[in-house]
Amino acid sequence: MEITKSSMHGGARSRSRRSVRLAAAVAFVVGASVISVGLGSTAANAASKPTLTIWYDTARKPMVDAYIKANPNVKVVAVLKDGDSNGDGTYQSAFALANRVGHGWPDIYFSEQNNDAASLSQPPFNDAAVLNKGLISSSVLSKFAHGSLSLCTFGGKVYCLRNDLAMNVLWYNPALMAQDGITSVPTTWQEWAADGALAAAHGDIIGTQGDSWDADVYYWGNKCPLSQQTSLGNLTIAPSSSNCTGMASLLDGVSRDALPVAYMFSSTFGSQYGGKIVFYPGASWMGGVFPGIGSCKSSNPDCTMAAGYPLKWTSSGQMVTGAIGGGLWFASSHSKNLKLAAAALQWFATNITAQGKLSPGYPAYGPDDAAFIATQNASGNYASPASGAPTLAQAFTVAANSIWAGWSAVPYANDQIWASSVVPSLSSGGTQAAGLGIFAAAATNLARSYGYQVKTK
Amino acid sequence: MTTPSTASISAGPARTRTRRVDGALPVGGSRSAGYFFVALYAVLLILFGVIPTGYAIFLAFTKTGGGFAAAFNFTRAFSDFRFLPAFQHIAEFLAVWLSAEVVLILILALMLHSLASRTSAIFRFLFYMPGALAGAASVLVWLFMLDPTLSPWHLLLKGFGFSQLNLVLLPGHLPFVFALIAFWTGAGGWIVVMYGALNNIPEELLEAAKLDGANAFQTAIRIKLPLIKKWVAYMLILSFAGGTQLFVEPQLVGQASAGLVSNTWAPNQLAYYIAFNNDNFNEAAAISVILLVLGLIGATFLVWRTKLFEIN
Amino acid sequence: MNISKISWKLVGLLILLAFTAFFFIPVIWVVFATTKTDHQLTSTSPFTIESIHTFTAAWKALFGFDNGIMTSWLKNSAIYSFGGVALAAFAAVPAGYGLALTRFIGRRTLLGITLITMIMPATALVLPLFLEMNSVHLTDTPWSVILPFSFFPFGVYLCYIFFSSTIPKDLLSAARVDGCNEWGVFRHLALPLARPVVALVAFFAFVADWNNYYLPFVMLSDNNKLPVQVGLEYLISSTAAFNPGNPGSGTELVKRPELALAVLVAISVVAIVFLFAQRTLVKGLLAGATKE
Repeated sequence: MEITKSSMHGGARSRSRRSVRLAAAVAFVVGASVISVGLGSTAANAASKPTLTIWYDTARKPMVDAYIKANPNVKVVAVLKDGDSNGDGTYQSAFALANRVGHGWPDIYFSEQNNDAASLSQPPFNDAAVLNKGLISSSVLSKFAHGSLSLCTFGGKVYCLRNDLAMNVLWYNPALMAQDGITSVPTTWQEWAADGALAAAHGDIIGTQGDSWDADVYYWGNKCPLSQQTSLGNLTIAPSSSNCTGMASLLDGVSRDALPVAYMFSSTFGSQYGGKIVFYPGASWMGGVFPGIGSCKSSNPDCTMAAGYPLKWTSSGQMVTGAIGGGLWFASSHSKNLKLAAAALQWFATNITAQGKLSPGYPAYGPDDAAFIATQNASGNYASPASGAPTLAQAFTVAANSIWAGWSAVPYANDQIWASSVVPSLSSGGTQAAGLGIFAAAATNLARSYGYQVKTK
Repeated sequence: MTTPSTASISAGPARTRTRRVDGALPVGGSRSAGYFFVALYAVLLILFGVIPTGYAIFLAFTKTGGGFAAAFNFTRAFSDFRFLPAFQHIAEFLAVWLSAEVVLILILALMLHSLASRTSAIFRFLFYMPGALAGAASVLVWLFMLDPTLSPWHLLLKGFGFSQLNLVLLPGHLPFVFALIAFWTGAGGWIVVMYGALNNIPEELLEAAKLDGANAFQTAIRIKLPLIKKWVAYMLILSFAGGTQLFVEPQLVGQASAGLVSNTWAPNQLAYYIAFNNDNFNEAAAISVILLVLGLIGATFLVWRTKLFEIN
Repeated sequence: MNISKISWKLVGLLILLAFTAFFFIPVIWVVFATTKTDHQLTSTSPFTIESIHTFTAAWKALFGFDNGIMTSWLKNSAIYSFGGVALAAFAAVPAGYGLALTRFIGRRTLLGITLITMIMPATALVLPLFLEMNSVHLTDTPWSVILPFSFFPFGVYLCYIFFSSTIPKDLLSAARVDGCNEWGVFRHLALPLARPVVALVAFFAFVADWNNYYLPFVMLSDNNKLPVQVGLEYLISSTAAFNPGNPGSGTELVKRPELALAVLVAISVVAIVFLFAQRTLVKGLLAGATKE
């Protein structure tokens, strides 16, 4: 038993050492948690000024900092959240838990998901406060871009303020247009599609498909009813409408060299298409993104783009466009200080410094637009417009007022459905025409699971 | 050389008598001793295992507003349009992943066991490292690993004809992709466990086999494998249950690819979505109970076949 | 020497090397990624070291993010994990021993219930645990994470299987005949022999706690109390490449190399703990004990 004993002996020694370490670890944990709990409560007691809890996302940080600076008499608890990005339900889960236990709500919060109002204002979450019944004056509300609050409005009640509009424009690159022999900025989808051949001949592209936001650009932008709420609880998803099929066959007619299946934020996009984008029908915030694609520098003329008017279906037709994202500001109806929350909400959505200088997107609040445009023009992110084409201010203003109101917010993410059901089909050679059907089937199922009556015509 | 601990073992009968007089625990594996050893764990089990599980099962049979729901939540879950596809996905995933687990982990553990312990320690470390990269950390890594133009594996990926991330993530490939990631993060841990189990096989048994003329392969199959049967069973039970509960991989790949994978791809994702995005914890609990039952069927079968609960 | 034997060894070695590449190359890639700029990450070959200055810059950016919140996250992770491990090991090792080497009524029931709770999908337990913690006013405190961590059934099973399949019964009965009481047998005989499995349990508990995402995500609402895994999720959602929903010029978004660095910092802790645990797992402890 010689070996046994010695090994036990060693074990016993190191065990006593270990138990000391274990005790130390436990003491450490207990101590540390007592300290942190203690700190928390003293901090709360010391607060004699009103407390405001803000949930924000990274891109909103400069605005939050500015608010704190401008409001020294408010104790701000700023909590970084993911802004409910990609529709992953961060806020929904937080409210599901908070509603059950009766605490844990913020006072105001920012969402990147422009469909969040549809779920957060309704049962079972019931969190978003009604703003147009005394909290925010109608004179303020009326200054938001026409129709921009439709994503926030249910049954006549306004539940959120739009931060930015993210409306789509036609981005174009004047330098590349000249190289490719394209003489004028297209104004209709047909002209744009026809330019595809010229672009492709020079290895350039006129946009992409196979992004999660395809539908927001092409179908929303052509009044195709894929998410149209006709009355509360009634949804039209009609892929066979001529507005939908027309756009699909137009897209399918463009060569995939000119309109590749590619995702702008994928790791390969820059190396493949950096400096090769002649046109891009896309959101207003993309102007700041293009100069960073691939090896682009803002000084490189192959990379900066100018904004044109949204494309029309026929030259005599009405100008309509869609939007990709665009954030929302909410006040929680559970806030203990709803007046303060509403004031803060109004500050974030309308303050000229916040919206004109610090927000990355085109302000939904009209009076701030000029300041925003001035900031953008000074940024060096944009190319100067081609002759006869609109200025940045003209393009943005017209686009902002052309957003088609027939694309309603629903409590699920349309982009998610497009990405997971249509993009794989497009990637393996499927057509947009087929994609419409795939999308409609998936969206109809999902809409029904949320209790919608779905009409397909 | 004598510390109190060795003394108490080697002191012999003299001490025995005094202890017995003191009324200490009776010798020979008594019942009260058993209760004593498991007491703390039993309390934790009740607080953080039994009560939450019981509550989840209770939810599955309750209506959202309260009240007994009978099978309502279950029929609702069964009739959900995402339910069958999700279970079909998971079945495909399990087939790929479990066979990879059992075969490859055992082969690798046996191979490592035949190496010198220092060399095998290096390999175990290298194999284990991905286990540290769980959850959010692997989002980043796998976005790049699966992207044909950036991946260190680009030659391999292109060899399969994948020129774009979109093509790697086509619906038909997903069970394989998730099995790959799950194996990558999970296998190292089980290799360490299996290696440890192999180490506990008495040397003389292996020596005897060698003397009998068994080669390394025969020893591995006839001696080593049967002796680590319980560990293999344990691994299979947990892997089967864990596999049916797949969540992180589809969720993170979906996130990293801007939504190419549905957020209700696997049943557990569906349950999570229904719980938090629809605020219907009852239907979500019903799906969880279905997963639990599946896991239990697998477990019962394995416990019965391998006599996992028996002590000889 | 037998040629076929040598060629078999070669095949074996090749298989091991292939798997090493499979397991380790992605990890190495993370290391290299921290030395690159976001642009170099997509434009240079995967295995080049670009610049130490880029690394330092990424380090500064990461630890400067949101007023140095990364440091708090790492500290929180350490407190929650070590606290959880200490309690879990303290409960699991005696329990595994008791289940394996003593007989009592309810033993099988305990094993069965443990297995059921292990098989129950973790996502289903999140809400009940949250309500439980809320009822004793512990949500948003470290205890709401540490206490559930202390329940580690996986470790109980590891110990149970270890004690039931490897501790020689004759050794135990010899000790009992020698006059050791049950606690003495456990402390002075079984526990020293069980060092490898204790290390294994502590290690797995540590990794499970360190990497746990949903429990702290649900329990803790104060960002300064979050562990690093939940923190990483925030970093990811602050990275344009992963969350393009609303990027803009001039905002302080996190870049991918900083994210890679965050990953590297988070996993290096697990790597170090693993190296220490490995020492205790070395061969021969038990083999020595059973040789007469």
